[in-house]
Amino acid sequence: LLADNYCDIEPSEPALLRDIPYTLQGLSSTTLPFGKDDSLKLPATLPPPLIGLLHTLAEPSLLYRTLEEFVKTPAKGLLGQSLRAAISDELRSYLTLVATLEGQIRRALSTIDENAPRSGIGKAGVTLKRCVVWTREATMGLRLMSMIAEESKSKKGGQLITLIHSLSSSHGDPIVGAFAERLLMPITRPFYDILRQWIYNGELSDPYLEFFVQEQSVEAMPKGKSGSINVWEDKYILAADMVPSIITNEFAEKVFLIGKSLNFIHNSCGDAQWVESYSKESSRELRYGDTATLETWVDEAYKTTMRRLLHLMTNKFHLFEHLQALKDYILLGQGDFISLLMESLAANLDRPAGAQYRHTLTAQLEHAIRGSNAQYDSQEVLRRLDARMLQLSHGDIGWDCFTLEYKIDAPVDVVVSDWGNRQYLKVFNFLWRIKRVEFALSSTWRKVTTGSRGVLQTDHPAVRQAWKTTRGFLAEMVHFVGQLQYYILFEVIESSWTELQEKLHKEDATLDDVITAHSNYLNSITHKGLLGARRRRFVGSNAGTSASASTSATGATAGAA
Amino acid sequence: SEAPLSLQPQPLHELSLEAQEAAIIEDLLFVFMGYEGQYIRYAYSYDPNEERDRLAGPEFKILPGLDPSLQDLTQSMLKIATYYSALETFVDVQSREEFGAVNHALCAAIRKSLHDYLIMVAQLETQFLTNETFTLHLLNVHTLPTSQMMFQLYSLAHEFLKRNALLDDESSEDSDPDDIENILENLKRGGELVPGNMTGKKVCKGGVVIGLITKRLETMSGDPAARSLLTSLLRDASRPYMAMLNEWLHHGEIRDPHSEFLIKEQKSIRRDRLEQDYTDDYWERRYTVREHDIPPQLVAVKEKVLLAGKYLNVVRECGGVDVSKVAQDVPKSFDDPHFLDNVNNAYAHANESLMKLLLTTHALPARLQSLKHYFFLDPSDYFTYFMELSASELRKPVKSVNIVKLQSLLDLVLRQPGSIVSMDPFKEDVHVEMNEVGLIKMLQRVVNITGIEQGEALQPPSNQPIENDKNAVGFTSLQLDYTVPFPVSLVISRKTVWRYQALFRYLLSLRYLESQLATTWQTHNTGVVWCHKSSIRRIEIWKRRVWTLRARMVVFVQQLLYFCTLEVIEPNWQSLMSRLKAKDGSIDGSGKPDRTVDELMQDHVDFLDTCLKGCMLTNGKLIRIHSKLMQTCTVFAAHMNWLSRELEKSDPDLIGPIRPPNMTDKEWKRFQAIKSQKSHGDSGSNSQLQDEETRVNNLFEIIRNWEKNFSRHLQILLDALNHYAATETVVLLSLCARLATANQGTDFSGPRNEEDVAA
Repeated sequence: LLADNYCDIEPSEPALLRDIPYTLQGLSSTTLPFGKDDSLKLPATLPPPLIGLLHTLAEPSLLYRTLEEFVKTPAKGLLGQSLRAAISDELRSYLTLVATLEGQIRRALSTIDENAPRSGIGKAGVTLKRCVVWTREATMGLRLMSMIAEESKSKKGGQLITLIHSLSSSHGDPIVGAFAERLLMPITRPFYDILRQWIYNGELSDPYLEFFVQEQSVEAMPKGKSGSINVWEDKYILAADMVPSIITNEFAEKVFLIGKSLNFIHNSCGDAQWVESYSKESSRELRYGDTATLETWVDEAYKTTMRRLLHLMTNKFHLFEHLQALKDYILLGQGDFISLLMESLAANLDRPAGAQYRHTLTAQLEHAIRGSNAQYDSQEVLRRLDARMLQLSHGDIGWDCFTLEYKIDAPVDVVVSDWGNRQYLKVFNFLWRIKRVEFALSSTWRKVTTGSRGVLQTDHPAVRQAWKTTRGFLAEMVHFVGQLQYYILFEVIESSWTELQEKLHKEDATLDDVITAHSNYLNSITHKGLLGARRRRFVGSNAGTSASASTSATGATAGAA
Repeated sequence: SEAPLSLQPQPLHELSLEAQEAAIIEDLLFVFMGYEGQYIRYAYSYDPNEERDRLAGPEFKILPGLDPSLQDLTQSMLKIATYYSALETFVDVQSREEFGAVNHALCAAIRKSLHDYLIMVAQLETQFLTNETFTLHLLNVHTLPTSQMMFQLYSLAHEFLKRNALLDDESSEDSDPDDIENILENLKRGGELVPGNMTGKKVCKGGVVIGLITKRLETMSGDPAARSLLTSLLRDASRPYMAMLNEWLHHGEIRDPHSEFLIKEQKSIRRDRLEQDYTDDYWERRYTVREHDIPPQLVAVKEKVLLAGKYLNVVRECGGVDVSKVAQDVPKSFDDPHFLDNVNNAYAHANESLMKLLLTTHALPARLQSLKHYFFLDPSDYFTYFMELSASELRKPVKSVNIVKLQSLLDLVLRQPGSIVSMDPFKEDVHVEMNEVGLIKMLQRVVNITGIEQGEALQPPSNQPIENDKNAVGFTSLQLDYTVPFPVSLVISRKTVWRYQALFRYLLSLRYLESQLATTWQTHNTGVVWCHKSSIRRIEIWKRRVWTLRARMVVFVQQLLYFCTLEVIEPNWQSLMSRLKAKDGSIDGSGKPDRTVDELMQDHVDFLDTCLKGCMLTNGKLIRIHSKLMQTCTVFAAHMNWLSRELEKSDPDLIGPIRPPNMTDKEWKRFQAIKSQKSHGDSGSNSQLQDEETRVNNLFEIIRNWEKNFSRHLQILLDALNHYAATETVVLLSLCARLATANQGTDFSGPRNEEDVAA
């Protein structure tokens, strides 16, 4: 046998073989002790080829040691924990491999013939070279894991998933792809658990802020003017950088909306019962892998929650009725009510603002409601209607600070927000002023007309001429105010309203759609209604001029009379 | 050799032959696995710390003292070791992130071969340890087939490395140290582009990799072993590429993080730019083929691949395709027999769905029809009405035209119940705008561009400011604009809308002229000055001449209008429409489409170009002559009022206070009333009584000039038309015949000789 010609090495190959399994597990042995910080000490007496071989074998053992170290470090998040668990699973299968290897080696060593050790090793089929071949694949896996472990240190939550998913999706090597895919399944479990909690219960159980939806603390939420907070808009936010690449952005958006709606239904709409039964009914185990099924489930959940939320908004909280009422009362859609109110209030409001009493205002409001078609409106609406005075400054009369108010409470205030209320108020004030001018003009017209039959029936040409001009101007003013009112009420408000209605009654409208539609509606009214930031002053002065003109005309009539 | 002495092996020459053989075999086995042996060492020139050396593979040397025959045998086997080490390094380097998925897959395939090779080495070791008859010779015999395989892999890898410029060509192996510096630099940057360093520029990936393997397969296909090896490599390497291809063909998406696919997507070119996009950027440049990266299997079908995905993309963006649908049994690699079928089917499917989307969902035929309504005035009732309504506005100079008012007038007209356009579903999309550049100037500019650059026939006239017409009025500047929503705007792009506008303005100018001449006719028929039969014969003759000239002009304009609409636009339109039809003749897109979308787009542009050409708008000379004729007519119509006044002053019957005998009493009274109104300002008209004669002469002079002008220009036009009918389009011939009637009976009616035409 040719192989019998060999020179002895120290330590011998069987001795090395005996120690190899320990080394592979990262344990020190007599021949191959581990040094400080991740180094392996090789015996100096070996010839160079064996040193090279042992170098190769040292790689998995060192990798194993670092990975074991990594697995033991405490994780900063649920996904980090699951990553560590997954890696330790992989390490366990590596250890199984080493154990098999050890069994092989033991068996081989026990049969070894002391006289012809070389051929004995050969017969048993275990040599150092074979060990290298056997551990090659495992080494690759260990390399990959240590790479992942290294990169994962700076990432958390969704980013971690993205990291591993990018390995499986963009790496062309099928082995790497399959490995990453295998890792993904256990790693994403906590993520899907959070997702499930979120889309079926509307609760965020995410202690380490790893999910792509994050809850804002009460202090961090931007406050409205009156100190109220907008639960719908600001309670939860979508963190774009935490969206893992396994789901698309639209999907994330949808998920965000589902959970937000559920949460809203539960907490703000007080319909916890429905949420509970819903989550009991439809809760499903979500897993990584079957994207198509997941998508259908989420779609289903999306549709159900949206439908429920809108249903609640319409039937329980009468959202549409409120919008209608806002249009009727604040935007002066209910004409008979407004004219009656104005008529009954006119005498009162001419007095200085300080002399206005709330009870008179309320009483007149009540009177106007009783006397007009508004009385047939539902109590739900009418009790929210209130008349009050704005903050008054010196020298104001009642007209300047009177305002009608429609009180909106939670949860409808997510649609008609603080900002929306201010817009409504702005439009109301504007329209109220026009209305007042119209009112003044018409009373002036009445006086002039009756006067021309009585006191003013004179033949003096100068007086006649003066009165003719006055009445001409009066007619022009009436025309102007009429046109202006027509424009605002009909061209602006009505057309915007139609648009709003169209959007609200769309088949798959969500609450977000409703909110946007409503704010668009308000925007278009304020903008087209000459109340945009730049034009307000012009309008104010215009209305003021005609109002003062009409009062002076009234004054003149009175004087002439 | 720097190891301590105790580790130095026993020198070879001290060993027996058998011991030498055993030592060498043992060493070889180590060397085969990529380690340095005891007697077989790396050559001095090899530095294991340098990647470049490792990629080239180590050279080995055998310590002296070996039996010569053994040495030769060993030497011949050492190449395998070199190949193996080189390939290991190659796999490590090429599976880095930036080399792309195809390289990764290729490396995985190579790694599998290497693994097989290692198993073989382990088996050889067992043989060596157990088999009595195992010798160096036997080792050689066993490794021979593998050696062949390793050589194939190595040379393939070598080719890649040369392409990547990670290795130099053999010739410059011992290049100067600067070069090595450069390459090292490259390696440090992970093979990234280094500006100014041409050698280290390219990382070959994607299609190039597949191309290289294919080429190698072609040149090596005679050797069965190499053939099967390369085929399996190709199959494995093409798998990720095919996945991308299928994604693109069946979903229209590109998932290509390493940019190795043959289609390049430019995300920056967005579709909302289509609205001001005159150069079709979106369609042409959003998706482009990487010309240098196409795998040879796809070269023949690259256009189809590009279009298929492009179409699908459009369909997907319009929400017309079910993206989640998974295409069944798509081929996974290039050697699949269904590979080309797959591409063709995908193409057919994409084309069909886009055509369907355009024709059915977005009603392209109806769109085109409505474009025809607005731009070619095919039911022109609305337009006549619009012109009447807006005449007062359009008469103003361009700067003071109120576009908002015109727009609302147009809206009013379009919504007039009873007119055809009121039924048009797209009437919201039409807008009025003012183009301060005159039609003729605009066209001439385009024609001039055509002269310089053949490829860019119709550029928008907006690139550089050109001086606007000083005396442009609303009528001459009016043009319509049409907004087109997304997928349809691929066919009706800005480019084509510009052509539509040009044609519209041309038709508008003809119509305007016609209406001016009609007003002239009205003046001639109702004005007392013209109706009254003068007692002076010369004046009557002069009047007749004016009328004849007017009639000739009307004939000219009407014939031109008739020709443009009925003989040019209408037939071409019909043929365009017939092309839109599906195979089974239905136009609503229910049948299988006959044509591709690109062909359709081309058809549309061709249609417009033919129309432009037929209407003589693409020829500088014709445009010039035509504009002169138009100008003559316009001037004639515009001076009619002045002529009436002149006539009034020249006709002695009308100047005098007595009623001419052949005039009715009513007419006379009316005339007197107008006259007294007019002569409110000037009272000294009677003083010029004496030069009546001169005035009449003067009038004759003027009309002669006009007649001459018109006839001459018309003649030139006819000659030019004859010329171009012979050289360019035959259609012009019929126009020639029609227009000739306008010149009949004048001095210019005969044919002219050639040199006049040339002038």
